[in-house]
Amino acid sequence: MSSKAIAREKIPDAVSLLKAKYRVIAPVPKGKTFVFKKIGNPQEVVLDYNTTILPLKKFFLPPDEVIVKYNLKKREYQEPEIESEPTVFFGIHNYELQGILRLDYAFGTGVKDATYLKKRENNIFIGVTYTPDDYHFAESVGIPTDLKEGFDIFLTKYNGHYRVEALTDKGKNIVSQWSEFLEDCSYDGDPVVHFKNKLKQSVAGIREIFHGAYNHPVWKETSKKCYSCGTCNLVCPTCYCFDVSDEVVLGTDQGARSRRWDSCQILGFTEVAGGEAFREKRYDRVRHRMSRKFAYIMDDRDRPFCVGCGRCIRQCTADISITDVMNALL
Amino acid sequence: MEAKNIYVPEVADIIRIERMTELETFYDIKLPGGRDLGHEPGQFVEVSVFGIGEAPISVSSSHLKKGSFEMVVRSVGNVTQAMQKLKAGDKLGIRGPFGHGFKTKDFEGKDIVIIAGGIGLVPLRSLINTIIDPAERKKYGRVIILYGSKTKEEFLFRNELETWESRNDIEYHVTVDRKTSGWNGNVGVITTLIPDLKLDLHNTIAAVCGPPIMYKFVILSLRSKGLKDNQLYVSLERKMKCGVGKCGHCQINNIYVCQEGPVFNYAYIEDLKEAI
Repeated sequence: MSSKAIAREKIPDAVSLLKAKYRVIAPVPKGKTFVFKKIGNPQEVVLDYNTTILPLKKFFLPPDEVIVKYNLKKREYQEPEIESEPTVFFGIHNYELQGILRLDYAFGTGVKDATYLKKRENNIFIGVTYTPDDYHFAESVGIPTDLKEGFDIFLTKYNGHYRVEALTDKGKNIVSQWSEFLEDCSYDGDPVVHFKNKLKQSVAGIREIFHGAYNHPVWKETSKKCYSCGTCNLVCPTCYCFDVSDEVVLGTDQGARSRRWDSCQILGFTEVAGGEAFREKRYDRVRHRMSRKFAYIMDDRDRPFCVGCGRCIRQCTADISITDVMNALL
Repeated sequence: MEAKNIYVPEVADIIRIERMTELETFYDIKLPGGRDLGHEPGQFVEVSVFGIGEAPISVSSSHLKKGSFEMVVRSVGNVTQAMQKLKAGDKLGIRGPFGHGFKTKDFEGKDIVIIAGGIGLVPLRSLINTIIDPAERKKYGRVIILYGSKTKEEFLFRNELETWESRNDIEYHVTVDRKTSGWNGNVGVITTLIPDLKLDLHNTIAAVCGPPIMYKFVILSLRSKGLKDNQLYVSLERKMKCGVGKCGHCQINNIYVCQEGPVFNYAYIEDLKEAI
C-alpha cells in the first residue's frame, strides 16, 4: 500500500472532521509563543512551532485540581467526578508525548493514582515532526525526532505536505475518515535532523555519574545564579510534585481539597511543622531537581525523567541551562 | 486501568481526647465499625480536619490494641492546632496506615534498646507497647528504654513512664535537658545515658526516634559502643503530604519516606545524603 500525505492547507479540514467527534487539543499561537488549547476554530491550529509555554501535563495533572470534596455539615468526604472526554491531541512533538509516558509511569506504578489515570483514558495522539531550535536536546536523552512511540498517527513534514502514518487501529480509523483530504505520498524516509543543543554523551550510564557528583562544584556555581523561582518545575513535562490544600466555599458547607503544582526549588517544600527544612541550601535544591531527572527516578526501561524539550532553559529567569550543568558533570 | 481515588479519607470518631502537655494532645480514634487500623508499629496515618486540611501523624498505639488506635499530636501547624480544639465525639478523616514500620518478627529473641527524644516517644510507644505486652514480652530479650525530654514538664504518657520504671522486665532510664523544680534525676542530653549501658553486642538492636539533630549523635554513640549499622533502626521525620509516593515532599534523594519509611534500617540509609 502506498503511503498517504495531506497538504498543509487541508489540515483545518482534517481538524474540523475530528472536532465533530472529539475534543481537539492542539498548539495555537499566543503572541510570539505557542500554547496547547482546546480548538474552536480549526484555522487556529499551527503545526510549525518550536515549543508551547506549558507541556501537555496541564491536561492530565492540572495546575489546580480538586482531589477530594467534602461536606462540613454531613461530615462526609467524597470522590470528585473526573472528566475523561474523548480527546485528540493534535500536532504533538514526540518529546511531549514522552513526557506523558513518564507521568504514566509515575502515577501508574506503586500506588495507582486514579485521579491522573482516569484522564488518560480516551486519548488519541497525533504527532508531528519538528525542527529543533537552540534549546531542544531531546536526541541526547534518547528521543530522536523520528521516535513515534505512543502515537496513533504521525505526521512527517516535507515540501508543504505531511506524510500520514497510522500506527494504531484508532489511528487507522481516523485516517480512513480523512480519505477525501489525502493524496499519494511521494516522500519516503525520515528527515535528517540536527540538534544544536546537546549533551556531551548519551544518557546511558548517567545515573552512576550523578551518584558520584553529589559534591561537584557545579551545584554551588549554578545555585549562585538561581532565584529559586520554580519556573523550571512548572514548565517541565515530567515535574509532577504537588502541594495539597483545603478550601471551604464561603457561606456554604461545601469544601474541597486540591492539589497544585509545587516546586522543589522553594525552601518550604521540605519544611515540616516543627520548622526543620531538609534541603536548606539552594544548591541542595538545584542538585535535587536535576538528580531527580537523571538519577533518582527512571522509568521501567531505565529512561530518565527529562525529555529534552528545553523549556527549563528557554524559560529560566536566571539563564541557567540544564545542558550546561549536565555537560559540566559528563 | 482500574484504580480508585487514593485521596479520599475515611471518617473516624474521636472516642477520647486528653491534653497531655501544653502542646501535646492524646487521641483515641475509632474507625467505622471499630475495624482495626491494621498497622505495624512505627507507621503513620494522614489525618484530616474538616475544612482545615491534612497532616501526617504517627500511630502511637500497638497493633495489639483492638477496636481503636491512638495518636499524640503536637499542635504546631494549622491542622494540628485545629485538632487541639476538637472534642470526644468529633470526627476526623483518616487515610493509611502508610509506609513501613518496625518488623517486630525480626526483633524476637533480641535485646531491644529504645531511644526516644522528646516527641520521638510517640511513634516508639507503638513499638514499646507491642514488645512489653504481657503476652508478647517473653518473645524478646532485654527491653531497655532511654527517654530524653527538655524538662519534666514535657514528659508524655506519665502513667506509663511510671509503669515502665516499676516493671522488673523493663530497664527504664530517663534524662532531662534542663532541671526544673522537683526533678532529682539525670540531667543532660540523651546520649549521656548510652555509655553506661552494658549490651550484648551480638544480640541487640536499637530503635531511635527524636528531633533531627539527635540522630547523628545517638548513632555515633551507639557505634562507639560497638553496635553495627544494621543493628540500628531510625524513624525519620519528613513532610509526608500525599502518603502514596507521588507529591515529592518527603523524598530523600531517590527514596520516598512515605513508602519505604518512616522506619529504616540505618545500614540502608547510611550513604543516603540528606537522610541524617
